[in-house]
Amino acid sequence: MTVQRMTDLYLDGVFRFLLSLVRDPETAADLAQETFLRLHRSDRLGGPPSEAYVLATARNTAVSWFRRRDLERRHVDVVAPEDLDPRGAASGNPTPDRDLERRELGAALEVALAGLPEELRSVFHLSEVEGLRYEQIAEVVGCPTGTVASRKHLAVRRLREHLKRSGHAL
Amino acid sequence: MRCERIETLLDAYVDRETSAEETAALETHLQECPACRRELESRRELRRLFSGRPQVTAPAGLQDRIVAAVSESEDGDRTERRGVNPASLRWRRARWPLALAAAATLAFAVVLPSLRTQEGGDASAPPFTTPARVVVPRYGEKAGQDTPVKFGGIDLGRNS
Repeated sequence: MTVQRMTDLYLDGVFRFLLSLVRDPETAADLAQETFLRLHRSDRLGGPPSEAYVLATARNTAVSWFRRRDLERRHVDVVAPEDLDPRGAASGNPTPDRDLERRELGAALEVALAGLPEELRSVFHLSEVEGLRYEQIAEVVGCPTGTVASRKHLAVRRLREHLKRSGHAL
Repeated sequence: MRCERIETLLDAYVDRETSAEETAALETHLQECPACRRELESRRELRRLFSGRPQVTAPAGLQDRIVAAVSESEDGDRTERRGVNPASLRWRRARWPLALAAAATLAFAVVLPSLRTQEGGDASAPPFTTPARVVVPRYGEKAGQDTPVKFGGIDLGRNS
């Protein structure tokens, strides 16, 4: 599979996943590049990679990056998604009130997500944002399917608790 | 099923990841339990909140940058492969074993003939695997005066 085709299929998902892990768009872009370089090298011997394999490679790339850096920096630099993607912010033509409300809630969700440990955040993101099945998530994060289910449950519980504390009770 | 068990299964239920038995038990319980129905609705609300977020996409230009980086990496690999002559690489790898083999051959070539020429050697002496033993004059003895010199159990003659 050519890198052009691979990035056509998976670049947005890889970038989103890496951004959810490292919380910094520039770092996520650098790691996405490193991920596709790794995938291209491994692709020389086989056929097209699955989405789970691609995201597992992205995760391993992020883990290597965390190891090279101070782990404490993971929870710094929380960025609202509207600030990352002008195309996303421009869509929908919301009214000012609704826009403010949406931004507040979006920011609260981002803060809540940023407060989750990596293993919970990865599972939550892959399930809710990328729409992966538990079996695929298990392949990405390298744990049994039952563990994925329990991590998802724990992530939802912690997010709800955090939103409740910040006045956005569900 | 008890409410505590239902609560742990609700997220998997929303994700359609429960087994057929679990789904049936959950749905039976949900029909009878308003508290668990509220829990289910709050999970669905959380999902709606997330699905309503603007979808983040990769920055413009990142794909071109990655394609260029992969192409550059391939060029680098080709240059690296061209820069090393395979024959010289094989020679570099074989250099040390060859040097050791040459040294061992040289050692045998020098030592063996000198031992074989000692026809008067002790026929019952052990082979060369015996630790080398050189008999030297004791303290006080005069060297070169009928002192037997042996190496590996073979009498190499006398100092005279």
